Amino acid sequence: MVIYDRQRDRRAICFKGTLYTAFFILFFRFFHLQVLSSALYRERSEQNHVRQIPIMPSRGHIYDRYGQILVDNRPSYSLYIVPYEFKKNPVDATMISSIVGLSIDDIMERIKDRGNGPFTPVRLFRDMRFEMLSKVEEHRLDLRGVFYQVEPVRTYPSPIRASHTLGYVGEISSPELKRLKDGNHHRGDIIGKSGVEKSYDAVLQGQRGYRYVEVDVKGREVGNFEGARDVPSIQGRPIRLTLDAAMQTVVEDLMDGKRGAVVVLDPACGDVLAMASAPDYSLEPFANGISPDLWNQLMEDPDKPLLHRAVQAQLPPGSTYKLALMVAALQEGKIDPEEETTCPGYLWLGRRIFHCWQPDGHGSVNLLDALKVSCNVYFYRLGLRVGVDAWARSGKQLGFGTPTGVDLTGEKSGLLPDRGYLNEKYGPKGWSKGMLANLSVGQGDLLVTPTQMVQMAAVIATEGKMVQPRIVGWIQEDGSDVWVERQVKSRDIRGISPDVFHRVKEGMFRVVNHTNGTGSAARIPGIDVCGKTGTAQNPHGEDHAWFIGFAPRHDPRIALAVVVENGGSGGAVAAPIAGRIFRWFFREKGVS
Amino acid sequence: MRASLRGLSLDVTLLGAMLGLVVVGFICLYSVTASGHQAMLTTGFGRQIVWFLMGSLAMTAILLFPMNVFYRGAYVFYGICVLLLVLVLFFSTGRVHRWIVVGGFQFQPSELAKVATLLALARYLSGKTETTLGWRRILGAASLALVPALLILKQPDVGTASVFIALLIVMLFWAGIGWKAVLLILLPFVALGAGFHPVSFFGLMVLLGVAMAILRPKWWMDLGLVSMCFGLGRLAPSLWHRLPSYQQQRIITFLGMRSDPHGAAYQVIQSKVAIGSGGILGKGFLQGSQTQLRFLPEQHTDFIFSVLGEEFGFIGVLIVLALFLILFRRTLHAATKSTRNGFASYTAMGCLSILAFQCVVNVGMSVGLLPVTGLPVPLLSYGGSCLLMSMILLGLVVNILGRRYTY
Repeated sequence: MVIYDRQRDRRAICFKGTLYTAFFILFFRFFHLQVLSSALYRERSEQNHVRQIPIMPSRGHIYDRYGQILVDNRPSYSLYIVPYEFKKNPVDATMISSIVGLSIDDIMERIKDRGNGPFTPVRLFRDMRFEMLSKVEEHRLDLRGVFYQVEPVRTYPSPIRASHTLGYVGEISSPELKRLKDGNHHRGDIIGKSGVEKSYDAVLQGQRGYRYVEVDVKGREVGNFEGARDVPSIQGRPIRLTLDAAMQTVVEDLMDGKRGAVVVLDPACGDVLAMASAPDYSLEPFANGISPDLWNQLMEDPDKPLLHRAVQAQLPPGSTYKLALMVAALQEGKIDPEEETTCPGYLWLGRRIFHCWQPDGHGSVNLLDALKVSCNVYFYRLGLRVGVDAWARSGKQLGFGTPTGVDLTGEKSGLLPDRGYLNEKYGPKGWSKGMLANLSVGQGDLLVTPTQMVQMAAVIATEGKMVQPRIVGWIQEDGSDVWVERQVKSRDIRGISPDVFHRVKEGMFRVVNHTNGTGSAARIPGIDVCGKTGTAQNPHGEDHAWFIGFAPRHDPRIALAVVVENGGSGGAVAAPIAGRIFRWFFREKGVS
Repeated sequence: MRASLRGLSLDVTLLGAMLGLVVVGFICLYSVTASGHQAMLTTGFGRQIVWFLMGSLAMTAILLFPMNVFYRGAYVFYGICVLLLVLVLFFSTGRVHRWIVVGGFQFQPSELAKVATLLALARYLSGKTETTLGWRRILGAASLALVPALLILKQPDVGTASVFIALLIVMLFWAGIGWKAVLLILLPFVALGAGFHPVSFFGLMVLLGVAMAILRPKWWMDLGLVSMCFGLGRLAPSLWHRLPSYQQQRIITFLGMRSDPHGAAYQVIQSKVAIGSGGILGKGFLQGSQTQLRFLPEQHTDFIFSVLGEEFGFIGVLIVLALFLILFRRTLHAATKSTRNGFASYTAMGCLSILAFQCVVNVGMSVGLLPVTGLPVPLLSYGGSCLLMSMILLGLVVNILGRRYTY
């Protein structure tokens, strides 16, 4: 062991040597900096002649599914200011304030120190007009610490609007900066505030770069600083949506002047081919910082144009929801589809009377007849027979009460009441048959989003395959031009037999194609369209008009949901819109 | 086991140096936060004091127990820390998974993992019976260190992960790893890196020649090592240029050398200006224009030495470096004089490696000698987890120094 310990001593000396060497190097370095070249650094610190100026990355482009560009960037001029210089020179301050048209107080607020130090340039104005630019250039020699540079700004060259789905961008706010404390966000960054701009911000954002410039005593740029290499900005990665720009245009035209939403889906993979929310708004004014007036106008508009109705509107589904009840009844075996029941136009439940929408009644109807003519009395009775538990269970299986998971921010989950919910809200004895009857025809507490409805249509179309709708289909790899497809998320619904969906499909086919069917306005020649209308009563006035459906019946290629808020009856208002979309699709894409 | 302070002599030199450094840290932190950072002054400064008190408690607790308690608990503690590292990957928000929040205090499990890995390695290596280290034991020790290192790399935090590598190398060296093994492990990486820089590559080959002349290994080993280095070094650049640019970028990012995302070059320039302009005597407390005007965003953590250098000058830097040197000498002393207990010796050596590595890397960074990694200086920098970790390590060292005659 003596040898062993001696070896150890040798190693200990090695450590001591390394430690002393490292400290000696550090010592010498400090000696060099602080004693030998102190004068040089002191001068530098007094002048503080190096500025770090951010280079803004350009955000990733957004394309439609066929590669047509939807969101692009254009160059623009931004005005920057170094807070330290601004505060030091009151004369310059008034001049800048008159050029940009902001009061000195406003400018002070903008350049307020939020922990970046007084030498980090702050952007004062985006997308300067030419007059402003020429004024700055004119007074260049007098304006200390003021400079402008070219920065990319969003622009929307395509004819489609899709404002809610694309989303708007804006300068990062202080709370957002605090929340996104990840080192990748800085003051002055332009980030996505809604739509895919927000949900894919990390992809689209890119990374800011820096350039280092030398400035003279008056804070004016004299050239590049040689001591540090500039850091180039990294462009954001482009994304390709599943939207079809041509179809989106058609859908937006159809919804023009209305209030509501349309979602069109490829039921096989969940690709959202078109998604419109009306009324919409223009994205252009947001690109270079929206004016407070315009913002307030949008916020105060009673039609709520900023609301993305396709995923955020929570509405009663009305009779379209009879499909979910039908699924529950067939699956639970609670019904013989051929059994007929008489609809006199009303139904007494205890001391309350429940009306059918047809005051004279539908006479004797079986299940498929009842669906075709959307007989309320039949479905009141059916709902009572199925019971709230089975009804809520099948609703849950069909995706109601939870967000669909579409890749947009702010999606709502709707409301699917079950026994627990009703007991809590009304007390165990406070609700009874009447409430269940209301739920059976898609009224009462039940609330759904248009995207949930189109998801149900797709489930029925594929006879039991639940796909998650997706807006972004492809993302470009870092630094390459390879598109990587996002995974399609789909699963088979367990617990509901294909046979059930088969029957529901038959019913939906009759709704559109048989005489007296409520959805006949969606009928198109040569294609077997399936659908269901809904006319939902609501406390806000006229009924909401609904239509959900898909086509063709066998091997369906598109599924859709249409809702027009306070538009009137589903058959008269929503079904024709669906018909126009089906017709356009099969004319353009042909029948496979 | 009985907790007791009987028979424990406290090493006043080490404790004094430690206290001195902590006080300097508080002074610099005050200077950074006094101007503007109102929130930092009230919460940050206060928190740091709370962390210091917690550190003192932890130290006292450590002193109460003999080393065999830590020996017994080493693996369990290690397991818990690895679990925490896995959890932090899943249960923290944002893109950087580094902190766990407990009662308003952010805590970095990676700091605790340093202590745990050190103890586990010490236990594992002190269990060896052979005089030179076998391959199997080297691999075992390497996996003990690499598991937490890789988890931390995933956070991503390359700086902290590199601390584990330094720890591993020092511990293996202390365990008597053969020269050949050191060469075999390190040379390929060095050769790969040096291949991009002709002068360094030439220097490496010369050094290798000298090493071969001194060590005089078998002829086949000589030939093998030299040709391997030469081949790797020559091949690396051409292989690199064949990679598509985005893959190159990925590798660069992985190595933490990303083309300067936070403008590190600018920070280093400002840090050098701050330190250099301090001169011999410094500009005085709260008088540093670089510090007070805040050119440096992360001054209170990464660039605390620039504050010190600017406001207290060369003299201040010398005092702090001397305090560190005293600390490290006492720690090394603990490692060499306690050979009777292998575990204690390894533990002290591990403490030295972690503390000295972080200290040298951070200071080297603030004077522009080493790349910016974001490693804090033990005891000086703002950051509670780091202060606590440093004090725990020093608690272990004081314990070893104080008890060496009792068993």
